[in-house]
Amino acid sequence: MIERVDSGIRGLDTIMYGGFLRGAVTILEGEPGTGKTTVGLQFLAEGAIRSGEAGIFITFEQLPEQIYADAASFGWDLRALETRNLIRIVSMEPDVLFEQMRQPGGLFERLTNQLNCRRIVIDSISLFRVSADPEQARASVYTIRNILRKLNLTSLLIREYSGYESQYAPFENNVCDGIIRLSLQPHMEKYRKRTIEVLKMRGTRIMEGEHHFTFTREGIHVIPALSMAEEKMISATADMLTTGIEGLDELLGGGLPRGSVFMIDTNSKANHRYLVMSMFVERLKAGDHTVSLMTSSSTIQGMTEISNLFGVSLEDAIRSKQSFFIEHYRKPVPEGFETSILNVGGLEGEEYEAAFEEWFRPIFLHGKEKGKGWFFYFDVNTVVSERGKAFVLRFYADIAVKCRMAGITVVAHANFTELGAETSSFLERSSDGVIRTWVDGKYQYLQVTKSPTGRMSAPRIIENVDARPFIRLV
Amino acid sequence: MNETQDDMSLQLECTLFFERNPYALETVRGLAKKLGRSELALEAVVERMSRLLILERIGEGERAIYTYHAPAVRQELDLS
Amino acid sequence: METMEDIVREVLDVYADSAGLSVILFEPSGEGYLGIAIRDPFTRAIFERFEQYSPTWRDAFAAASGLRATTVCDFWIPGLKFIVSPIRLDGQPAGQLYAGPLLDVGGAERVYRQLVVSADSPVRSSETASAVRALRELPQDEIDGLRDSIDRLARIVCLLLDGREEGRTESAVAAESATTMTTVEAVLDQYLQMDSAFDLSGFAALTAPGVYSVIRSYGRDAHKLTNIAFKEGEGFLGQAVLSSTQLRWREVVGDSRSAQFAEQGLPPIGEIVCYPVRFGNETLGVAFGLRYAGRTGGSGPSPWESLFYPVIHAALCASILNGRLRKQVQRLQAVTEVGRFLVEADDPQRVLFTLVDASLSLVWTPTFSLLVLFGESGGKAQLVSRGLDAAHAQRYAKEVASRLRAAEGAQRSFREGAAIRSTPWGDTALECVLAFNGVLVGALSVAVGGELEAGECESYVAALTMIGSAVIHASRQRSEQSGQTSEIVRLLHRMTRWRDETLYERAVKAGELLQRFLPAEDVAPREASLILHACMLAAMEPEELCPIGSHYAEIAAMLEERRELERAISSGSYRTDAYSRGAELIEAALRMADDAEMSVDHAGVPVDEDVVGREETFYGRKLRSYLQKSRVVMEEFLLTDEADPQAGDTSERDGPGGGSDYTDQRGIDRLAREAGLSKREREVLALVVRAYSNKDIASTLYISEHTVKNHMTNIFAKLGISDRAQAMALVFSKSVE
Repeated sequence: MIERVDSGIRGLDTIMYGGFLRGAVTILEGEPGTGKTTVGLQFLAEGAIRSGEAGIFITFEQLPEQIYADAASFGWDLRALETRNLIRIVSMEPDVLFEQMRQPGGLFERLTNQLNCRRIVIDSISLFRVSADPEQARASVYTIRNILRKLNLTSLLIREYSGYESQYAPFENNVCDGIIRLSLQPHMEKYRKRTIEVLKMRGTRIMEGEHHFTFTREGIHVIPALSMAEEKMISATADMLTTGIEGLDELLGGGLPRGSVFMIDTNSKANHRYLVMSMFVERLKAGDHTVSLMTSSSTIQGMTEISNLFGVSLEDAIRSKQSFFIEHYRKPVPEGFETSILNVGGLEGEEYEAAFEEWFRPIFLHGKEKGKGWFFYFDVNTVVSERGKAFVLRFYADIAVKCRMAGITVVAHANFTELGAETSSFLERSSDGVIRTWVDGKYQYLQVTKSPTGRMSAPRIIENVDARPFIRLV
Repeated sequence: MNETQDDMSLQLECTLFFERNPYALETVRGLAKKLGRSELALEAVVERMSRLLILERIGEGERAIYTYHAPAVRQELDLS
Repeated sequence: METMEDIVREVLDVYADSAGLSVILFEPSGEGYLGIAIRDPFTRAIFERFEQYSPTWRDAFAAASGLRATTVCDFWIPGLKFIVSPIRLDGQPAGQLYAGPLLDVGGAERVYRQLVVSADSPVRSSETASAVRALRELPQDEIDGLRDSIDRLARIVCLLLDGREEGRTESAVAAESATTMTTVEAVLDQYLQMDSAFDLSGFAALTAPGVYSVIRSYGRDAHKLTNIAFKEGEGFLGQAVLSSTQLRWREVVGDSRSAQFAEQGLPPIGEIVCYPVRFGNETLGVAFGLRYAGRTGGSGPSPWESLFYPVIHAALCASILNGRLRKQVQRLQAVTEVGRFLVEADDPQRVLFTLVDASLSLVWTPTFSLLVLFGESGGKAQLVSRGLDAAHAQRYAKEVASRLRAAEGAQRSFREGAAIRSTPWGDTALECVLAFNGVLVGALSVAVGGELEAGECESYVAALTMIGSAVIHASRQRSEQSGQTSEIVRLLHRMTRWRDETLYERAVKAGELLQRFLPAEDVAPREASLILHACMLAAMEPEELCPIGSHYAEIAAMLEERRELERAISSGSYRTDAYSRGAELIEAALRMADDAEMSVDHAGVPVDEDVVGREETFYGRKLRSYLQKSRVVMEEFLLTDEADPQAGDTSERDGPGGGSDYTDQRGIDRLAREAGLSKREREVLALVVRAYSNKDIASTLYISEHTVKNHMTNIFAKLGISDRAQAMALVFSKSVE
């Protein structure tokens, strides 16, 4: 199987079912101002940062200094990457490049060897056509493709695109492995929308059609079109944990990825009990272990009752050491459950953290090895009211990192509006995904606003139903 | 007046170009295009700069490529 | 195209940025200025009312007009200092350069008191008084260092202004005869070409130190002389350049001194006339005429000989000097360009490379350039060099370093500028100290061909290193500050981990108050960050503050002062003016943060004057009154039911339980009806009026920011307004209508 190369662009890999094929030569076309250079830069910069793959950006017309400046506005410090030999922004003339590429031991080879270069962007191949007659241009691009393939460089060749040219299928289309087109189209009268479309990609399935993308502070973010995304076959694998709620698994691209950290943000009127309990009992049904942090109003008794509604016996789970609880408050504890409860009420500062640390350590260390799945649910607002905001920020970040490493799936619940903008944006950043639910008028809505695949869903209405899990998305 | 003095500000301009774009690989023609200066004047300047080893020359004649060559750096020199 | 004045203004800007001083270049008359770069609130306060203060400036200007050298002067109030540098061109006053304001040690208090107390100070105002509090006091050696750098700046300005009016350095005769001729070649073509009395004539110009080249020649064999060069004292022409008067040699056939002509294949020379062209003490070139041996007839003087000293000489001088100036200006312009790049470059390594490489473009015969940069502590240094092998470079760097260190040890201040040195292996080099405000950072040394070249190139290399010094200094400060910030964050973290979190939250609250107040008070960024850092750390005990860079001493001092202030207030012994602004502000902010009613969102600072009045400090009062004012502004828009009992017809209004908690509902309802706002637009407007940001509105209403902007555009269009402030005002006026 051919290795896949992470495109570095959120959402684009989804459209290509996993990224570029290693060594593929892809044409990236679009009219001026559609974001071709940014896509190219992101491919290289993210490749360098995330995958440690070195890349070269060859520019014919733009000055590298302009490119450094453009990249900086997306947070990519190309100069620093250059010092680490992960990036080179090289300006040269088209004919010089062509000449040096063909020359054995020429500059091009030297450069790629020096860096152990894996990715390359050439901006733009249209210039070959300007400077040579069509026959020669065709030969040039063909030669370039062969050399790039020989060196196994995953490449993007940028091409200016205009309606005129589209009448004739440009010859490069036949020699290259893929074509991606960026466009800017009128949208609802006043606005324009940016779209990306994969027209061709040898050796992989693609989600056809145009997908929206936006420029964010971290670069380009592609939002795979919804209707098409739903056609994608979703199979509940061991690594995708079902939420048990019709519609929600689809929004999440199959469910909660094991080892991810999700936040449920509700406003005060919204009911999240069924949402959380459905996820909770699904874990019990699957034989996973659970840890729940109790709020001031929840009781084990209450949870047992709801579990029974879902047809699962929480009592059995507790007795068989499948379910555990963390309690801040003094509440009556049913006979025999004491050892399943970590009581942290009344503990101060260091003691409090030490208690957590000690209790969780075996799970963090061995949970994964023994093949046991763990599921941790906690209520952020409870911790805030017990320990303060400053503590929660640190605690949440800490838990998020450790759980991710140990493969523990975390679902936390919070009221972002109550926590304030700063705290909630921190929590949001530390989470892999955010599910927001709120009441507006007579309906309760649910929306996945952040997900590991980079997809944000449209808002859906939550409908109450009589059968388990008592809610569904419509 | 002395040729070299004439070329000084052009040399400075050229120096700055390569400081800003340290991985540019330019022929005199490419450089002339990017700086908006005549090839003739630039030839003398890049020649002088490659003698000073500010630029490295790859190849010969019209097709020669010039690229920035960093100065020698010694960190943590013990002055005692 | 950039005029010379533009360039002057740019240079002033760059300097003002690097020194953090305001710099003003006054016209010779003192009535206006050629360039101004304001960087401090004091000067800003004065210049915002230039009309009012212009007599004041005129007095100062008149008092300083007798100056012949760069001087630190007190103006208006003893202790308030400006550096004044006279700008003179051709001995005539051409302006005055002012840089400041500066305070010497202890000056702030003195000047402040004068501004507050003495009624007759011409610059007395509340703005100037508070501006003085923001100024930093400087020790004498720093002031001296600044004076030297202003002196250098003045010289650069002179050089630039001198190039402004081409030809002004020349006499009236030259100006007349050479008005249409701007180049040497044009002058020569005009006069020497009309000659028939000589077989060959021409002009050799100084092209390198001690070297002359024939740049123009006329006659049948003219091409044979093109570009031949000779040294001082070499042959007839070489001897002529050493003379100060015209020289004529007759019957010189066989004279060895004519070998330079014979080598070029010229016939034997019979007679030679030379006219050296001199300006001041410098020989710029030599005009000459040759007659071949055995020539008959036409032996009288050429027409240009009689014209040479009355007319041609001056025209040649003018054109040569003009050409030189133009090049100097070009080079200086290029240096300015390098400066701009250095200021933008955020890569310290790139800055050093550029300094080394650019210095090689500023001298005539570059062979090497070397830069030593001292580490921030200890005996280590960084060395960047070009054109030297490692052994030579290191040896020379050590020599430069030990020389500078010795001078530093001897408490001699560093002149920013260039010195001529010999390298251990006998080359000549221009050595410039990299120093900022008298603190030695390193040195740049670039090889030159000799003293003449050194003199010619000195000012450019010095200008380059001056900019370099400032950039290196600034980047070190930046890295130090970010280092401190992370250190402070670490300390705060420790505090929340091991100690009471309420202390932390109190410090954060106080910090938030100060963060709003400090910019409004126009506190300089450095002082502001110092105060904020100190405030955040106020809850820590002195011994807990482990060393956090050089900032620590200042923070610790400020916190110590604040503790004293706290004691003084509780014992009733508080005196105005006994404590720094920082200490007073921190104390006041912490007190306000303590108050349970304090809420940053609504600036709900307690207003019980009786309780707080007697404990109030100078800055405490200012902070409170600022926060109260900002609350009043907010409250005007947050009309409550109680606040508006006369509004009549309250039935029209939604009660508190009527599904809305927006207290200014009335104004909004009216507006919505009149302008036909949709329900959603009404909701958005209600939040706008409560000073919600777009982001907050978006999250409150569960819509995207983009949609919020859309709604805003529509609302503004429907209401016929263009911004939020107008929206607030409109709602306000509607609700009291």
